[in-house]
Amino acid sequence: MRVDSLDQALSETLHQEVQEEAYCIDRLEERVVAEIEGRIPRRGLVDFFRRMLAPTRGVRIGQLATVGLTAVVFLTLGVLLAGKITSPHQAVLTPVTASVISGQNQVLFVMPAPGANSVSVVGNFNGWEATPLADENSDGIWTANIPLPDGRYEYAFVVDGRWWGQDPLADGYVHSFGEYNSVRYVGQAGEGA
Amino acid sequence: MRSLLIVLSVGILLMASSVFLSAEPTVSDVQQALIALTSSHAEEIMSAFSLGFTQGRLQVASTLHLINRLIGYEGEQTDKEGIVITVAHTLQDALPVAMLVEKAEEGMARSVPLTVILNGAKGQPPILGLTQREYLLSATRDTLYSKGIFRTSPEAKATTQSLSLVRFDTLVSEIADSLADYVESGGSPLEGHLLYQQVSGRLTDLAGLKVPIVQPEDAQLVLERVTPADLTTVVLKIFE
Repeated sequence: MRVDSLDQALSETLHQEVQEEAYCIDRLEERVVAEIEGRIPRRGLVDFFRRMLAPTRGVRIGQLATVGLTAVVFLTLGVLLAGKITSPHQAVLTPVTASVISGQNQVLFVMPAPGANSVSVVGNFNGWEATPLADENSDGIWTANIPLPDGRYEYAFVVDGRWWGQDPLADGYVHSFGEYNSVRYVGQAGEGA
Repeated sequence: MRSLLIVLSVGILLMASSVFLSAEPTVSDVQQALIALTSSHAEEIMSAFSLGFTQGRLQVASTLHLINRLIGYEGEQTDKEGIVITVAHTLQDALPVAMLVEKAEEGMARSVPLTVILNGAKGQPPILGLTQREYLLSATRDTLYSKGIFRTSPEAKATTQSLSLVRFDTLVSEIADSLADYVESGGSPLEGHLLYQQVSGRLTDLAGLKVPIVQPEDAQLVLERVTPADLTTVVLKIFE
């Protein structure tokens, strides 16, 4: 037998054997992975992180998602934790906030303003920054419940940007910068908490 | 395991940074804001503010809020500086400043020109600025002193009444504010009995709260010792 014909015979033989055993390698990787996964004992969260972080051939979306999820969880924890941390002076320095936390008086502010687009209340209890009122049933009566400690408060409503300092429910009125401010005493004896 | 440790470390770092970013404003924040507002007077103002923070007369958060609002507010630089200098000067004079800070905030919320917030405006009724209110605080304090009502001090004699800093400051602040309300409502300073009624009403209302802002005995002390003529003298100070 010539050498050339020997090579060809060898090649044909190998090809035939490969064809006969082809079923063995069909979806081999997938089957191996499934088998391995079935044998690995599950270990809860640790196992979840490990599997998600294991390198794969494709884009590492799992890793990115895990890192992102972890960041969100820790950031949320951080923000929540920050809310719990207060300086030793804070209770003394911000009495309004302290009382808000303890939730003493729920003070109802009411402003009739049919057709208004926005109504808010500004006063010395919120640093003269707007606290919005709501008209939940669209009857033109705007209301807000604001927790305040006992004290004397000056305030005004702001209806579509225009100040309105004469609240009919006020205990009194004062002039301030040439305009009216309403005055309310919160925590008067005989007043419901 | 190593990957898990890396994730946990990154997480802890993120948590720490978020705690830092969410924290309450600090004295250092106030200092930085002051430098942004007025580099030339920042040091002396900060010195007075620090005293106020220590005494509890000034709050870090509200001070920072005021300065930042001033920075973004339209007006002359001298008026912006004048407002913080007035607050600082009042603190150096050992007086409460909550009323001044509140009025400055209210004025800016109402879009009042800074020069009016600081210096007031003549007219009938007049508008009182921070400068006039500082006079009122000072004159009220001096009147209480002259009537033997003092802050707690070791030198207090038997005939004087010594109050804690908070109680004394509350009295000074509320009396001065009620006098300012009277003037801004167009009341005449010469009608002492009306001034007295105004002050009496304010102190009595505050003493009558379930959690009194003014102690009833303090209100009684003031109303027993201070006369309508004394209050007229106080109010006339702002017209001098």
